[in-house]
Amino acid sequence: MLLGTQVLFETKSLADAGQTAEDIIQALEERRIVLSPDDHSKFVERWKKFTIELERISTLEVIRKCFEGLALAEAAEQDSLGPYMVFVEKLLRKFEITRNIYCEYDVKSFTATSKQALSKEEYAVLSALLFQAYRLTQDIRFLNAILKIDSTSTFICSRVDQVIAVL
Amino acid sequence: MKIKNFIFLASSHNVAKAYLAAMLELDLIPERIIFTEFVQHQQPKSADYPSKTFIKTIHRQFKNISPVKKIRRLLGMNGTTISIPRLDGHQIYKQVADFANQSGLPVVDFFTSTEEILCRHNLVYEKYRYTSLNDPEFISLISKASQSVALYVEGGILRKPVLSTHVRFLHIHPGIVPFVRGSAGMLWSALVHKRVGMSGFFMNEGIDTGDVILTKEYPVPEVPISGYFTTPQYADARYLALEDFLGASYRADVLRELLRQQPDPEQWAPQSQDLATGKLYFHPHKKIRDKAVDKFFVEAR
Repeated sequence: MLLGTQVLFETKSLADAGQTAEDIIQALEERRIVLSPDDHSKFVERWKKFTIELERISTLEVIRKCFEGLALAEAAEQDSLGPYMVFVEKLLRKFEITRNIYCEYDVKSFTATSKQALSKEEYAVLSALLFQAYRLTQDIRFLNAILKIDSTSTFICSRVDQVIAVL
Repeated sequence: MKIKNFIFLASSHNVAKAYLAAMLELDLIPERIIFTEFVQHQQPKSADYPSKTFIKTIHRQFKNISPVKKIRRLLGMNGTTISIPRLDGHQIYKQVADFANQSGLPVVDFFTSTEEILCRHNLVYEKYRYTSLNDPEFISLISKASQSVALYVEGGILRKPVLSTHVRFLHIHPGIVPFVRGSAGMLWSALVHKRVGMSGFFMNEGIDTGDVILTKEYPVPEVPISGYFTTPQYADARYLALEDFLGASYRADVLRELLRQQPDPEQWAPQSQDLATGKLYFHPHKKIRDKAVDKFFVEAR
C-alpha cells in the first residue's frame, strides 16, 4: 500500500502544509491550514478557465484540481462545493459503472478519449479526492468507491475503516 | 376480479411469487400473465444439452488431476469453496421468510415455484424464453398486446425499443426515489436514512428516474435469527435472505397498497421526480453491505 500520494498544489498555503493529499487531509483535520484572503477566489477563477476552455481534460489534472478546490473550500469555510462535486460525482459514476478511470475525457459527454487507464499512484490520488469529498458531504457512496480501489494509501484506508466501524 | 389492461410479467423470481400473493390476497387477477424464463444470450433457446464451450471448460477443469481429486471436486469437497452448506443458507431464508410472513406483509409461499402457484390457482399463463425483456421477440409480443401496463419483475435494464412500445412498465424499487436510486436500495436506505423505503414507478430510460405512482416507508425491521447464523461466515446468506425474501415481501406490500387504492391501472396518476435532488447508489462493497445487513437482524432468544 502507498504511504502518501504526492500532489503539486497550485496554492502556496496548501503546498506549505504538505506534499501529499494525505498531508493536506491531516492538516485540514487539525485546522493547520492558513489561507491568504484571496487564495480561494483565485483558485475559483483558475478552475473556471480550466473547465471552460478545454474540450478534453486530463483526468489526473481534474482529480488534483478537484482535491485542491475541495481542500481550499474547507479551509476557507466555504459551503460552495458545487463546481468540484459535479466532477467528483462524474468520476464516481464512471468508476462504479466501468471499474476503470481513463487518463482523458471529453468535457461535455464525459466519455473516455484515451484507452489508457490511470496508474496505481493516480488511483491513490483519486481515493484521496473521494475521501475529501466524503469528509465534506458525509456521503457514504464515496467510501464505497474507495473500498473498491486497490491502490488506496494506508492513511486513507485506516480513515475509511474508522468511519465504517461506527456506521 | 380481473385487473384490466394489466400484464403480469411473471418469472421464477421470489418477487414474482410475492406480487402474485398480493394480487391473490385482494382477489385480483391480472388480465394477462406472461411467464418468462431468461436464458443466456449465447445459449441456443431450445437446447437442453451443454454447449461445446461448457464441455471444454469442464474438460479443462478435470484434466491432469488424480481420480480422487476428481471425485472430491465432483462432490464439491475441494476445500475452501464450500464453506456455507446450502442447507444452512436455506435455514436463514426460512427464518427471514417466516418473519416476513408474520409482519403484516403479503403472505408469500416462497418455497413453491411460481408456475406451481399459478397452476394451483388455475391461472392461465403464456410461457416464453427470452434473453432479456429487450429481446426483439419480447418487443414484438408486447407491441401487439391489448393491455397498456405491465408489472416488471426482472429482465435487465429496459432499453429504448421496449420502452417505446405503448406498454408502460411498473417497477417497484426498494428505495424512496429520487433519494435512493440504483442498486441495493433497501440496504442503502437502512444505512443512510434509517428507514426502509419502496417506490412504485413507471420505468423510463434513466436509472430509477420514472414517474412515481406510490411510495411507502417502513421502520428498519429487527429480524430474529439464530445466533449461529449471525456470524460473518453467513453474511452472504443473510444478504440474500434480505434481498430475495424480505425485500420481495415489501415490494409486494406496495403493490397491494397500490391495487387497494386503485385497482384500475388506467386511473393511476404518476408524478415526475425532482431529479435535481437524490442520489444514485451503486452496489455496496462487502464491508458496507455487511454493516447495512446487520441493521436488519437481531439474535433470537
